Amino acid sequence: MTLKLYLDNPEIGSGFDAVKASLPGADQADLNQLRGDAMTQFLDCGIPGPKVEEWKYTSLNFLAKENYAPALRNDDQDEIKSLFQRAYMENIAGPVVVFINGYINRELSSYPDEKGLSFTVLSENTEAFRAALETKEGASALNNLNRALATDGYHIDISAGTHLKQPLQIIHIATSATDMRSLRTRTNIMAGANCKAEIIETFIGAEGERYWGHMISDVKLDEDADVTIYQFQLQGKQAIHMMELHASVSDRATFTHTSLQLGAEISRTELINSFTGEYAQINLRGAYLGRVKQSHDIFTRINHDMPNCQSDQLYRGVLDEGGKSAFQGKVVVARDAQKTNADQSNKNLLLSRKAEANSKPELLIYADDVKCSHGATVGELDADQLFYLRSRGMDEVAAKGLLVAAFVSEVFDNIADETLRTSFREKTGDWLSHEVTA
Amino acid sequence: MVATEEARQTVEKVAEEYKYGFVTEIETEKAPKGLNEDVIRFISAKKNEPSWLLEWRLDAYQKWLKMEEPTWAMVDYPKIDFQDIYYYAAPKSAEDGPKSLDEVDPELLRTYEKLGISLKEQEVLSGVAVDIVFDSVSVATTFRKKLKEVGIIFCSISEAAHDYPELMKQYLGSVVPVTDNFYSALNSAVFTDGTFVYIPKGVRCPMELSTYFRINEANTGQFERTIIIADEGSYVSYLEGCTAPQRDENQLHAAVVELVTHDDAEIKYSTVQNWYPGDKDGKGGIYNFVTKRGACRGKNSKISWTQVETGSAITWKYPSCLLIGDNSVGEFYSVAITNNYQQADTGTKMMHIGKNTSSTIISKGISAGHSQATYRGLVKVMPGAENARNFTQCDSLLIGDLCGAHTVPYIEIKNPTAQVEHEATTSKISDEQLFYCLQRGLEIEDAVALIVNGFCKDVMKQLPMEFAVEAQKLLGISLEGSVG
Repeated sequence: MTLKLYLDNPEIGSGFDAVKASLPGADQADLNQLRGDAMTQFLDCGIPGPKVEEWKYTSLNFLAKENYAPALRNDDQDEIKSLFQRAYMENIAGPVVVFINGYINRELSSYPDEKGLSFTVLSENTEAFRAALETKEGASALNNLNRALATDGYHIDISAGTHLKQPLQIIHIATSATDMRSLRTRTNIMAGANCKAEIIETFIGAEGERYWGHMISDVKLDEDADVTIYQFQLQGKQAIHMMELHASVSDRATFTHTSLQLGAEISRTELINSFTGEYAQINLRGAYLGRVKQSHDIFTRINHDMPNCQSDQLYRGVLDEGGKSAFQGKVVVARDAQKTNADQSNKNLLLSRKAEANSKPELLIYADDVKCSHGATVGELDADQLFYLRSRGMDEVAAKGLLVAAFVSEVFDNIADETLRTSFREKTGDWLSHEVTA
Repeated sequence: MVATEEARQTVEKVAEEYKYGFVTEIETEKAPKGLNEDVIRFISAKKNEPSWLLEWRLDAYQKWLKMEEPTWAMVDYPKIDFQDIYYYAAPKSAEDGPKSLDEVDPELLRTYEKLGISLKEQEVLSGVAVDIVFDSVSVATTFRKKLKEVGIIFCSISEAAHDYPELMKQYLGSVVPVTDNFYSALNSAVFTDGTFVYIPKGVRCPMELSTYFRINEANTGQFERTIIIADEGSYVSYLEGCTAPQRDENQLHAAVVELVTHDDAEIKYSTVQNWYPGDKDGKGGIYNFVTKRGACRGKNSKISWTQVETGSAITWKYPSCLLIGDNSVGEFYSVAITNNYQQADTGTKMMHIGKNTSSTIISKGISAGHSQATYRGLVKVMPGAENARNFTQCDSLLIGDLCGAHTVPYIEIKNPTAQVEHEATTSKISDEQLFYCLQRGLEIEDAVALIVNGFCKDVMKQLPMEFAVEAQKLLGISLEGSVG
């Protein structure tokens, strides 16, 4: 009668045994030990099933049947070049680091070289790799799976007081040689006191392949630090994209995460944030646009464990024919976190009969002197607005496009850099114009 | 209970005529502790039920055995031992009660006084064996006569099983299936009391119906089952519960309420729940696990739930609407107040299935002391539900820094023509508001009651007049001791 909460797939365990000798760092006994432990923890826990509340809107049933072995290195230069060109923002000056199929690519990368910034690629530094694979208390099942099988990633250390002059671009490419394989990377970002940094991450992949891009990030902000992460998710149409980010934010620091989800068949963005100091701020913003079998799942959690902090969440969804989305945002205000300000806003636009939007903005509040609110809406385009534009001679497609673009653009209003803001808007526009031709 | 004043006068008159009343057979028998098929057979035999109902109960019991207790609600309580509960106990006879008001808990009397309940009624409520028996039987008789004239069926569920088996078979379990959840299955197996109401076509029920007037309502049932059917074009307003504090020795309550509206019919269901919430340290108190659901089966039909939840140690309750008929309307207005160590996880489900359906949800949660109040709601628009509309507002007020207020809304939309809005806020009583009231000479408790009443106004104004006045006072009383 009752469904099993967690699913098993013994193939994942045996698959790990088959590949572990060929994983990066396999010659290091302690790395092997960490990977083995992580796999044991994953197998002990199992794959979250549909009855696990956190995974209510994204089914991991495929994982119970399929094993995604780590992708192999690839050097099809033509394909890499074309994907790289689509992802690279050349009008944004600054270093760029490229991972292909989950491995660093030296030719396309230009490592940052700035005073106060230390950039390390995991596969090139055992120390950093070990730190990234270290056991995490209370880690999720998928985090443990990632630890066991991660092939690469990066570690950034920004020393106190450093203001990075240029944003750092990171591009994750999946080539067509990745069918039924996984790309697992890990990221560590340590932001020192009073530093300022911007990181732009782009995920892109070959269209026809069913691959699984899976990244886990840990971000730590010291006092007064200001870190902004931008993410463009442009994965291939058949792909699975999963991203889990943990941020801890100290006194007076500001962490901002802005994402745009356009690609992948199944995408899941999990942002777990905690305040470790007072007067700090967390801003989470994002837009997700989906059609044809696409499913986007945004899962956020903000732990207000400290008083006087502020969090702000703004998510906009546009769902067309066959698109499906879920926003699950949870704000937890602990007993002592007085003077907390928390706001969540999630609005969704349904453009077609076969679209679906789910929203679950949760507030759990244990302190009394707080201001917390959330709002969620789902609806279609306003007929009056559409009529207004049509009456001024705009055709229906253009009018719809304009309204949808305006609906989404709020998410990007606060991006200071104009080139970047334009880039977010253009990519949204590309998606919309596709709709028109499709 | 203001309106009952008139009723009481009628009663006293009628009481002389029907000196012995229609007292149903009362035996002080108890079924043995625990739950098994024999206990269910015992209950069914006591109620002299037809065999189909016994079979239905036994089937429900078998299903219940295979189910697990839900754990998803934000309530925390020691595990219930379902074999350590009496599932059937005949109502206590009057002699067991206190002999006069002097023997009644003064705390209880003080509350009655604050609610403005008359002395006579105080005696009845606290179970005092009064000389002139205030006979609810007689009240009910006069009322039932009046109702019968217009063809309304208003009786206990056991009577309905006898007298209207076809209606019962048709509607029992039709809105809340046996296996809907753990507690609905338990209720289906052991329900011992409840109300059955049928409003025929085109009839507007001439009075507010209330369990209070029904026969055998001396003890509020532990496992109540209520069915209300509003046939085409009919209207009924039903009141459940009572503002007066109710003491009950049964700790576990698991009621099921099923409402059905046909074309153009409307049911307004109002609840004031003020069961024993436990003492200041959280000891004792009622566990209240209720499944309430209404099905708007007909076109243009409407179901409106209004609830004021102030009692019980644990409240687990989600009055829902299935909006099946085109143009049907569902409403949910709720005030949930928790104080001391109370925990309430309550909300609603609005399932939009038909075209042009609309729903409104207004939920006000107030937590004080060490209590936890959660709003948990679902708004679901199915692919075929063209032009569905929903507006949801959930506000929480926190009084003191040891309590919690939580909002867990689910919004699931599968039709692009839907317009769904949800908003929620959480805040505390502002110091400015309090200061303003105090400065004008209000006592702090009165000031809090005033502010809280203002906060709840949108819901309170939905209550029938009979309830509204007392419910307002109740808000203040429930929050006593939470400020200052």
